[in-house]
Amino acid sequence: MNVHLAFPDRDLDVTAPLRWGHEDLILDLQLPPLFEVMAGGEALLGRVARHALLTPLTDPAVIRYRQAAWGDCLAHPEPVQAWHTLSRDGAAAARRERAGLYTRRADSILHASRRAMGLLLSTLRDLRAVADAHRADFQSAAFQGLTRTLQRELDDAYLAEVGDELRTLAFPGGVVQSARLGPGLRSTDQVVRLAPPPPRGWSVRRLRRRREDTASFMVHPRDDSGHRFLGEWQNRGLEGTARALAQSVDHVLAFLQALESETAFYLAALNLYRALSPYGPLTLPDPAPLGSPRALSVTRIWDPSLALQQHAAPVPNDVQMDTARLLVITGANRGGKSTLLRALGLSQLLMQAGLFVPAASLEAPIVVGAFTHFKREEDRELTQGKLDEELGRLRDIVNHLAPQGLVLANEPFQSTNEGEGAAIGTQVIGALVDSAVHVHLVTHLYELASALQSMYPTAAFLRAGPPDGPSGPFVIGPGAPEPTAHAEPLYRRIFGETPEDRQPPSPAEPFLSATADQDARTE
Amino acid sequence: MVSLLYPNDPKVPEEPAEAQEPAHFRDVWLDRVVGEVTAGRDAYHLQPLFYEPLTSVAAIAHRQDVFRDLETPDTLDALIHFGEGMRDVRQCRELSTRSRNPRQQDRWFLEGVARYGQTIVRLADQLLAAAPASAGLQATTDYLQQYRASDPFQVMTEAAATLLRELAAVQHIVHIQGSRVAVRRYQGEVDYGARVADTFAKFRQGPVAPYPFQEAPGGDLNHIEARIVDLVAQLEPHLFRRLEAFHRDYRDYLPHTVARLDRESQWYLACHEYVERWRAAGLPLCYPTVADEPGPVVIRGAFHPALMDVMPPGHIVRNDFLLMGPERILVVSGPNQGGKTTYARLFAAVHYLAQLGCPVPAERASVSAFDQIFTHFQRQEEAGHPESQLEGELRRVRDILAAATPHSIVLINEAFSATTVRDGRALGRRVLERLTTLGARTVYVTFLEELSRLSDATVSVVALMASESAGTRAFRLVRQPSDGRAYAASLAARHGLSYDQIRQQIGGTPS
Repeated sequence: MNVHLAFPDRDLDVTAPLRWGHEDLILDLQLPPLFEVMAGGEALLGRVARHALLTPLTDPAVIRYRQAAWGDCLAHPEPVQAWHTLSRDGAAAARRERAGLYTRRADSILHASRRAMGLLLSTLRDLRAVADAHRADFQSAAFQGLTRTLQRELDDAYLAEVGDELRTLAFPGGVVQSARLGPGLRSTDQVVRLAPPPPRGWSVRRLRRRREDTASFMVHPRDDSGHRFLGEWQNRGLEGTARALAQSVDHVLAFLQALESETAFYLAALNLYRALSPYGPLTLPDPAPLGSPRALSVTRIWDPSLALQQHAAPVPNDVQMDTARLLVITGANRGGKSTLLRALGLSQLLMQAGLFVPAASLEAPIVVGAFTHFKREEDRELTQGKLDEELGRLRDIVNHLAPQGLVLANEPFQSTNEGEGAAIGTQVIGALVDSAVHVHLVTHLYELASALQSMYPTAAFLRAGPPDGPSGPFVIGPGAPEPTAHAEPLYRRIFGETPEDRQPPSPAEPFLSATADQDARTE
Repeated sequence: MVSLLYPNDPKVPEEPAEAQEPAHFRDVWLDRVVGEVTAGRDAYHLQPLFYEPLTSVAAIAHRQDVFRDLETPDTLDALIHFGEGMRDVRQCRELSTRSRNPRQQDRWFLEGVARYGQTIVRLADQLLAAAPASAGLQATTDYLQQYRASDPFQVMTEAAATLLRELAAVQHIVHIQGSRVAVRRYQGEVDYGARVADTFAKFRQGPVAPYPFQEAPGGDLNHIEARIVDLVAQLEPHLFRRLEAFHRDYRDYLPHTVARLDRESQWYLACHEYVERWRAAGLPLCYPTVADEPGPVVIRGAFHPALMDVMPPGHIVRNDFLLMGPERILVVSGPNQGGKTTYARLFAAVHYLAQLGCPVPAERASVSAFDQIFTHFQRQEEAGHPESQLEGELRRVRDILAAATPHSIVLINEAFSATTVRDGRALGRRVLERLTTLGARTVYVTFLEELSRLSDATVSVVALMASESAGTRAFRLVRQPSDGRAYAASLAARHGLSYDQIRQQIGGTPS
């Protein structure tokens, strides 16, 4: 009996270890505000959301399985919420019944498990009632399957049988066990037996003979240790039965826990959907299977973390890639390059969690493992130690990369001078791309970008341009790398302008590009 | 006399006298090796067997042959099962002796005899089928064939098997109602626990908690259990009388030869398990050639096995030793942390293991027998007043030079570093001259590289950095004049980030 809302063939295991590098993903893609919205005040929802986003699916069939289930949840949230609440509260009540049970005595375990199972029985009845009431609501294989499972496995006859069994387990007529004598004459192979009632038609004489075949003794009422030993003996025989019942309770609890977690996944998605829909388009993406030649193609993609922090709709961007797996974004500081890189990374995670993405349309190849290599505050200083540390981090990523992986690199190789950085960078990025790894790179290093452009003419090159007007947003569009981008930080440093001064540059300022298309835009 | 450890030769002591751990064990790290080898086998008291190196080439060959036999899975399997079987037998005997309930004593005794019989028959069968080639195991096989076919053994095991069969067939019902305990014969009553499991089977998914219960108490039967046994005995009076008679009739059944075989085979198994760890880690092992007379030393691709406890096998660097013609002394110099001391230890460890008759951690090893091993290692805790330290060092080196013979092995590690470089050089030169005259095989570790150019008896060995990756530095010691060359490589390559290194790591195909 399985839940199987998150996978067609298995349960969602939120305790499975996360992939290496997930801490960097959380930090670099600014995921915590998203997790908070998804949790909506319920810790489990946040935990499940975190796990699902950081454990990307690679099978397009599973992604579509979740997309369909998500559609059902969006259209009919009530039964999903009802199952979630019932399984959560039912499991909690049963666990309370067994709480404080630190004994390893079979009779205590048997007794507590009987009570817990009694409570679980009523929860199971309620779960089935929800299935009965909403069976016609669902279109997805996931929710139709769950409804069918509940109706088929928990029919009235079975629920009644369980109730009867729980009554028999109180052993009103004493405990009958069979046993053998083990190597040390200690009883072994103890098995609890149902004593057959004497067959009808037995004569009084035969009944008496059966009694004569029986030898017996009484434990003296004041023989305390004798009573204890007898209890221990009986408990050894009850172990199998107690274990069977206790494990059954565990299995029902596991079922409820799976139901609680897997409904939590869709309810977390619902929270996210409701929080994001005011800020921009949300759509179900079209994942391209591993090894497919289809490239990334996205319109009006936006960064939800930024939207949630600023309570405003961010500027959307379009990205269209060709067959080369390399995307290079260059251009002005504060031009939204990092934001775009984050939006792309986050959309990749959302898509591979089987959810909607913040864009008008998105078609993207599935990747095997996504990793971020973002410039860190502590990297700013130019020292040999910093470069060592940066290359060490990069080496760790390489150690965990496989073909069809994705690396989101934000201003790498900046912890040394430009010449050395570009030389190392060309070597590293080239090796990644040639190893069939997808690379999305934001860089200031003109030498690196232009070297990559001549090595990979079909790669996608975007450039962040200055705003259209005094308060207008920066624009990112197709554009070759230019050697002027680092003039801007130089300017800022010399003139002492802080990043918080969002002054639009005056036309006379030197960092403006000199290429024809930008000139046309600024004039 | 049947022995796996010693050839059937009256000159060889049957068992070393109460042996002490040799003084050099700690410096050479043989204490760690023996500790690891014997771990988990305390009951056999194997350590003393490692304290006496063999004194004849024939004795070494005797053991090497047995080790070669153990590379046949069937032979190895036979000895492993024998050891496990004998462990069970000993445990049953102990339980029988310790019990205070006579019926229980009888029953444990029977159990021990039955398991002993099975263990012997199985070993005899398995050895016969495996057809070992070594003299030691062949003699064992012959002995076991005779023993198992003997009348006393046959009668005893037959009687034990019959009793066990009949006891196992006794199944009874115990019905507990409050204070009343009733016992009767089993008559096919339904298994209720299985029915409960069936009822709830549909919820079965992944693994769940195993629910371990209180251990059944060991030792004696308590009075309730004894009463239950008494009632069962009332149901089967004849059977229990025969059990009692069996115990009386077979009290001393275990021959000395079998007990001895048990311990000796454990020595081989302990060594074998240990060297198999090298093999599993992709490290080499070989059977060394040991010459009676002093001669060349050729050891290729050797590593110190104690390193396996402190680093992953991939980080262990293997080293060579070569002493030809007049060469007797390896003078080792190079950077700190360069593995120089390990190199010295390794030299003695390979020789020692070879002379125990064990496989050695090397690709190839050809050595000659030693009489004693002397070590002078500077120890942390001895760092005291420089003058008294120097004096102490000189006294100990003098003692070593006085006791050593041309057959000895001497390891000297960073001696005379407590004094000035000039004094250290002068003292080192004197000591090396005396060692050269003596002709003992020596590894001399020093930071004074010029000591390596003393005579044609000295050979210079230098620690060179072999690779630097993932923060660990590995050194290889190479026979070459010392010149202090620096290690240089490109920045990216040092981090494993050259184009080729990345391509190889990820393994993708070019687009």
